[in-house]
Amino acid sequence: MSTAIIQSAAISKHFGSATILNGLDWQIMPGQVVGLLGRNGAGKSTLLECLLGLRELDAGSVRIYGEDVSQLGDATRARIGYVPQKSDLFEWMTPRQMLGYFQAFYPRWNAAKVDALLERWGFDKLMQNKPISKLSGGEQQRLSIIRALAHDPELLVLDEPVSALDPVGRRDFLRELIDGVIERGTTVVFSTHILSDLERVALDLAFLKDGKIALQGRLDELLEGARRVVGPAALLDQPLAGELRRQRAPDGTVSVITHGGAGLGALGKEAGVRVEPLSLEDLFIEVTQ
Amino acid sequence: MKTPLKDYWLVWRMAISARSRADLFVLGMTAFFSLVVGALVMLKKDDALLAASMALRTAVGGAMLGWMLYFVPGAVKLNSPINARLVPRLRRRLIESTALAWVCVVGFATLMSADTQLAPALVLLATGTWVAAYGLGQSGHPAGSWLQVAFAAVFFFNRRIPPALIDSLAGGAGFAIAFLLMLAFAAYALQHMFMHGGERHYAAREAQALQLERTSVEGQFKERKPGRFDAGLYRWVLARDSAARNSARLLVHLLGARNHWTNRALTLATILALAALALLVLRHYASAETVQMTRDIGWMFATPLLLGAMFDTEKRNVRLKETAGEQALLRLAPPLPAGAPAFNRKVAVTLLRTALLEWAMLAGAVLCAGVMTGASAASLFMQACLCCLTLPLVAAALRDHAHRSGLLGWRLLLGLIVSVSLSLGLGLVLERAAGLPFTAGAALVSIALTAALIARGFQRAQTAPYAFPAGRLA
Repeated sequence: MSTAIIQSAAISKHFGSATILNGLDWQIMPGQVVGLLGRNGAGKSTLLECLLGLRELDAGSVRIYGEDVSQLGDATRARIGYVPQKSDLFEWMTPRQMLGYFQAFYPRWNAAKVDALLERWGFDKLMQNKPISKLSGGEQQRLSIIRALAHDPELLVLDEPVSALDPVGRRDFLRELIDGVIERGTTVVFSTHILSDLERVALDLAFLKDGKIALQGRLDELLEGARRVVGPAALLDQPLAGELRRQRAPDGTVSVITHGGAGLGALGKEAGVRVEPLSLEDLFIEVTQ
Repeated sequence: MKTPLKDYWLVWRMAISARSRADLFVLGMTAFFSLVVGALVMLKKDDALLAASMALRTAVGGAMLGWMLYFVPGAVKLNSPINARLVPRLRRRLIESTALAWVCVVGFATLMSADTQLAPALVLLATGTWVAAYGLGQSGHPAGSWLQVAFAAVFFFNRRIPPALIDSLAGGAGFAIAFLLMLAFAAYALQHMFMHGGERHYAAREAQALQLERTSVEGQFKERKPGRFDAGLYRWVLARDSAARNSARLLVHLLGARNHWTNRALTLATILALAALALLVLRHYASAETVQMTRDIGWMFATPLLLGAMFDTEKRNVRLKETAGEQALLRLAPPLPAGAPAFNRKVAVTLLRTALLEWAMLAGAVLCAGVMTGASAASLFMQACLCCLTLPLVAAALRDHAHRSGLLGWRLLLGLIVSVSLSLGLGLVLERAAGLPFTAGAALVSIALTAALIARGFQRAQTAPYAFPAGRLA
């Protein structure tokens, strides 16, 4: 059995009186492609920052490639690529200068890949020599992704990497992610709100709610096993197997969200009971609400 | 309350809310100074009417100052291209309330001049034009700022203005023409301050935002767009440092292009070249007494350059706060040391080296200016000792950056006052005890104090959390 690349145990993080992460345990295995989902303010960025050691933990521990995250050595850091939510990219420099600057830090730098990405993603000579502050939000985000991919990282952490990209930019990014990153066996953790992108890329999903991973699993298995059961209260008064959430409507009917529960087939045959499959959007709403 | 009054009140509240607790500050300070002035006049003159009148003048003056410093920038900010077009009545009310306040300011100033030697007509013209220039400047129009500089020049060189010109403006047709020109200028300023949306407004917004930033202390230290020559120099330095792959040199770039020490060197070289030119002109054209006076006390005029050490410290503090996002990327960059103590030591050494270099450049420029003025060896020695008194400022670079970031403000000033006082006091003791020259003793104490502060700073860095991203635990 291979060892987890990221191993976090019982991590907690508070901002003032607000609890953001609450004894969260999470493991990322080599080659895994995980989409992290959660509502606005659920703590996705904080979780990713804590996993990378950019924020101090109030409790718990995180290890990356077996090293304590507060003591990551040179070799381990050279294996990590990170795209922050906000592209803070030395905006007084030009894209060329910024990439040259980061190249000086990394022992391995794939200049051919950088040039190819710059060309494919529309960074012509003029744009490459323009101050980064003058680039649009989407252009800055694309540059941030190029910077993170330039040293061929083995672990790529992306915090809402496509939030500022237009559909064409998103498609280009996803193509690069699938062909140039995931197929190389790179481990990817990324947070996003764009569920259609997740369905194209992520093999695994993790839902963050109340400072914990509320639900995690393979995307196809999650969608396969997720059901909404709607029926009269008299038939649904007992908790169902794999029940995630239960709601009672004003007309007295009960709606239950289950995941991987057995015996729904028989229940579905009862009069007045409906068993419906859930889309990823439905699942997101039901799990994170 | 009637609708227009409600609107004015709302507009006032919205405009000053751009700065937190501005209303309380303005009211508090105005009330305080009015009472102080009133009490002092009462104590000195024992005239209740005069005291009340002076207190009232101070109160009106304070309110006007508050209006200029808080309302005008806030109002310009409020009138965004979107608000100007889409929010009903907003732009109109902003224009009306600003015009009303202008009338009050001008009227009050004119009334105040009634019992002075100043001609009320001239006061009216000067105040009206200045207030309009101020508004224009606040809206990011360069002419506004230049006009304010021109006003300052008039203040200092008013004796050079031909009396006939002043007399012609003080009444009759001259006054009428000048008054109409002032009104036209005020209308133009108002129109520029509160544009009606559209392309021109969007284009002016960047300059407006820059001007608004300058109204806050922190904004003064923000990264500005480098000039063409600065950018060329920076491009060369960055390419050189990137090629060298020296992590300490690369770390310095976190402070930005305008704040790189090469930029400081360029600025100082330009100042010295201009000073040299001015001194050359002076030697050729000034009287023998003036040239001698330059030799005797000219070096003193270079001493304020030392205050640059304070600005440099604050500039670094603000830049570190602003580049927290970039610092996160550097935290993950391989060649920087692992573990908070080693990482912090590296950051501390880099920042300290930069601070020392910039201080040395400032001190060098001050001494160089002294040499250019032909100062004596004794004067140069005293100047060097004075430079040493600002040396403890370099230790301010060694902070617990994770917990504290941004401006040090009054703490820096207070720290400097304390260290200078201590150095001077102990310098006096050394003079009496060991016969060491007073300034030399003070300089030695200052150097020792700097060493102690640096040692303490490094000790603190050892136990502090990771310095980057700065301010995350504040």
